[in-house]
Amino acid sequence: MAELPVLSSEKRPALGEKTETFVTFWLGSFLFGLPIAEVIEINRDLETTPVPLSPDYIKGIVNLRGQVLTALDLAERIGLSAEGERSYNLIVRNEEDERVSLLVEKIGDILEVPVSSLEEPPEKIEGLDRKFVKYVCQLPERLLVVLNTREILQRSG
Amino acid sequence: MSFEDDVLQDFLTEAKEGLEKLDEEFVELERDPQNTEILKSIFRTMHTLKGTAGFFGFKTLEGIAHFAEDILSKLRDGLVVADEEIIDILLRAVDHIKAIVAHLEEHKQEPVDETYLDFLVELSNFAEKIAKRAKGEVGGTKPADKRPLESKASKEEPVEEKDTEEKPKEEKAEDEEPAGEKALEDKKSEEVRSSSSTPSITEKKKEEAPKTSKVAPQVTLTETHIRVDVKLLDHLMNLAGELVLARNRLVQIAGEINDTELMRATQSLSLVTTEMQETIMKTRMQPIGTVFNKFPRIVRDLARSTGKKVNLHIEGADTELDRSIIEAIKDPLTHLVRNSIDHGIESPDERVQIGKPAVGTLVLRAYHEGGQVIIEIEDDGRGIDVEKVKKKAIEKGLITPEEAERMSDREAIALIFRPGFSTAEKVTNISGRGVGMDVVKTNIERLGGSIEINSVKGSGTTVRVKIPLTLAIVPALIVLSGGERYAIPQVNLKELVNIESDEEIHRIGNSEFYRLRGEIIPLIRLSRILGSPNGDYERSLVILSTGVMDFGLLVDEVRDSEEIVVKPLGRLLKGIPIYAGATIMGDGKVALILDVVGLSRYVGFKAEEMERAFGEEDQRAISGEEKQFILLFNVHPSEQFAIPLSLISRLDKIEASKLEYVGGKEVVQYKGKSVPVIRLENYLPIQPLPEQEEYNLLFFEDRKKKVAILVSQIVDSLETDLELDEDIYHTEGILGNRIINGRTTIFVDIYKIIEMYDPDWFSRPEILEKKRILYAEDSAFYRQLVKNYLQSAGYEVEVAEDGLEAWEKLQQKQFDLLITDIEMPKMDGFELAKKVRSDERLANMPIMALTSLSGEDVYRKAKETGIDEFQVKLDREAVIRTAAELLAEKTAEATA
Repeated sequence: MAELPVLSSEKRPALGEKTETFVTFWLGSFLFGLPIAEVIEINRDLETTPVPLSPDYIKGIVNLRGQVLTALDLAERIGLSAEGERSYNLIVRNEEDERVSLLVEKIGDILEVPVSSLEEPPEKIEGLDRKFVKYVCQLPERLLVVLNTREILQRSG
Repeated sequence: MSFEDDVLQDFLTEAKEGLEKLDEEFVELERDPQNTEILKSIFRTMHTLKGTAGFFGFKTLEGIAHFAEDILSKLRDGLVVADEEIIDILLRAVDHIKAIVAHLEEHKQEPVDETYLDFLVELSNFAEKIAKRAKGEVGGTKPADKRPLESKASKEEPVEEKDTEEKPKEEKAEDEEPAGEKALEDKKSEEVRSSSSTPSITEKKKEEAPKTSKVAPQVTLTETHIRVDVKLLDHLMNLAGELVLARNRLVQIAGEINDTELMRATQSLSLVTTEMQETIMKTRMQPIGTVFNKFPRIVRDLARSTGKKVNLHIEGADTELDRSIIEAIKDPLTHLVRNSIDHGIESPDERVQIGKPAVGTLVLRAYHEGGQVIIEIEDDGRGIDVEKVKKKAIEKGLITPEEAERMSDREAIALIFRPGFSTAEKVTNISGRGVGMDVVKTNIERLGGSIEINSVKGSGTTVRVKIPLTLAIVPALIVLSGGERYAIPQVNLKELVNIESDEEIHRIGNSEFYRLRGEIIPLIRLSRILGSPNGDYERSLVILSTGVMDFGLLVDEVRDSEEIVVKPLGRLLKGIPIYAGATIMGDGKVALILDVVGLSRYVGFKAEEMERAFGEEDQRAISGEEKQFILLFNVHPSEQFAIPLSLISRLDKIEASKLEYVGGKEVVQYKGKSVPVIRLENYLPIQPLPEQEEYNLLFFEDRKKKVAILVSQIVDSLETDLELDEDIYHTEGILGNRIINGRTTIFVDIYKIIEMYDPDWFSRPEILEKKRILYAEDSAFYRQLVKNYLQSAGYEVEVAEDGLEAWEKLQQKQFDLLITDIEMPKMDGFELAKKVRSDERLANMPIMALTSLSGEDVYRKAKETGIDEFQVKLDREAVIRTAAELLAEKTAEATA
């Protein structure tokens, strides 16, 4: 996986430090992360059936081993313009333990970062809606944006 | 399993859970005797146990639990501290309870055995002691020591005896196994008989007594029932469904490869899969008793509040249904039961008077039939009075008197399910909760079920509800729109139609309609709703029913009908009304299931709106001009006549020989009644009807009276506007003429003819002073027709050809009621109404609009401009009734 931007070894925190682990993925030029506990599994190319009359950010419904899940275009949901094809389904769970699929472009590494390096998001983040961002974390080469699943899976307008 | 068994099973499951918990908690308590939380919890569990045991009448069990609870209450209240002795006896209580529960499980009744009674005595004594101790009367443990000893000694003797007789060593070793314990019990009677012997053993026993006595019956309770999270079952269902799909694919592949070994393996996989799916389905099944058992109380309360006496019989409570259906069926059933008691069963006095037992009987019955569950609610009450139902329906404007006349009893009873119907003379707090039978019907149909009523007046009503065993799998029609598949539940499906050409689709404004065997059905284009592109090629029409109305759904293509597994949609998609869920198709892709009721709501059809649309279509069609279906006929071949088709209730043929002359009048027999026959040539200056072997009859109905017009031949029926020429004929009974299909055609005023035949035909209300009506109408046809029938109803009628003329006449003369057309030249009905309302002198003038126009906006606009009522021109009955009502209101206001 040469394309992986960050090698997990680089990021290994000092022993004994409190850490949190994130599943990371790419949308456009952003590297996003979700707490590993919220991610159930990752799937490729689940066929999406469109649901007319649904909000734009809902791409449709998919069949995950007999369960019908709603598939969200994550980029569109958080107000990001991303061009790439979204072929990965990141299956996450919401508060009611219902599973939802988030469509993303590319899956990154599993990252373990020290809790101390997680920061409140800045007032303004170019290209996306701040309310969806829970923390940011400065990695050596880039910024990891940790998303707020709860907000993303909240129904809106 | 019977219903009682089932409840017992529930109790046992609960008891076992409770006992398990008690074991743990006592151990905990021993470690921490001051822990009030645990004490409270133990107390609660014991209390529940006592309650339910008492409910079932398990006296021993109840007793043990009672005294244990007694002791526990002292502990809980901190009056006594739990010491080893107390905990010990409580634990033994638990053990005894366990043994009883185990016995119950096997024999469905409590064990008859002195051991338990003895323990009960011991426990009660102990409880007493604790009570004293709590009061501070007895400080030490002395009596406590003694008493158990005493009681035990007397008890244990025989036990020990037997032990020694049979297998002394083992028994002495305090066999804790249930088998041993049982053996003890079995032999007890023998022991008692032989107890007097062997004193030495008794001594020995005495030593051991305290110990043995503490060995309460030790039983391991076998779990036959466990509680499982429903989510887990649902998930299992899903997985089973997936497994079926995978199996299907495998079977297909195996077929292609054609390898015997593989085939055999696939076959066995196939069998197991099917069985597994069925078994998992079964896990979701629950007896309908879980709903039925709520009814004894409901029935009792209802009977009390209505002052009636009702005996409820429940049958088939063990009939199993999918749990999701059980949930959903509760409210409709409750409503039906309420109805039966409120409307069906008579008061005790009334019942006695008509020779029925004072106590009414209500039967709630469930059984399986042909893959469905039938639920019947049967009462022996007064039954449904069909005539009363019809009368009510007419009053509510649901049907016309003519329709009522034609209705069969069954159809009439079905009126109860129409929205806005309620037979209760007054709204009671029982049935009249704003929920009608229409809602019940809709809810049951939502479940894929149906409902029907059989009623015999005077002897009772049976409501029969049919519902599918499971909601999870429903038959559905798969349709295609915009390249995606959609499933439509079969229950909503009426029929499929292929549209040959666009001509078949009629447009009125933006709405589209289809004429299905004369009935006008609104159309929805699925693609338009879904926003998919290729909507104009939709040629397949699916006729759907919401239960209240029918509508057509145009789709690209109709596929097969399939059994589909319904899956819920995620929370994010819950708000979209047109979907009922989703399903996974054979190829693994997901398809949406359409919610037919939601769809009709989304498009905004409402029942009354539809009725208006129907009315509109009946009397004028398609283009903006007022058009009307008319029937063309001959009396003499040289002359052509026309009558609006909607006025004729029926067409029939009759042989000349069937015409009878009775009392100077010509009549025919129709449905067992003599119907007078009218020959038009007797009233109109026309060529007479030639002798024929067979004639045609046009039937008319007014209220309950029928009359038939005898004609030579039916020429045609066609749609035309009603621009009549009034110049040629100025004869009563002729409205005017017009050239149709190249022939001069005379429009007959049928109301006038009937009145000429029999002046008393239209029961004329007694009108003390003649009311004056002004009628504004630009069409000569209607002007004549409506004027004539209003006149024959006893009003003085003046006509105006447009709104302006009407306005001028209103200025000059006094009128009691204004009836106006909407669309008129110079000044239309709205403007006229507005003008009238803004004029001080006329502000109280009632206004009725006669319309052939319709639609929500017209209706609303009419109300805004101050029009009081709306009626359809050709509905003579309704127009006259409304006129009378408006005039009566006016008079009432004036006198007020």
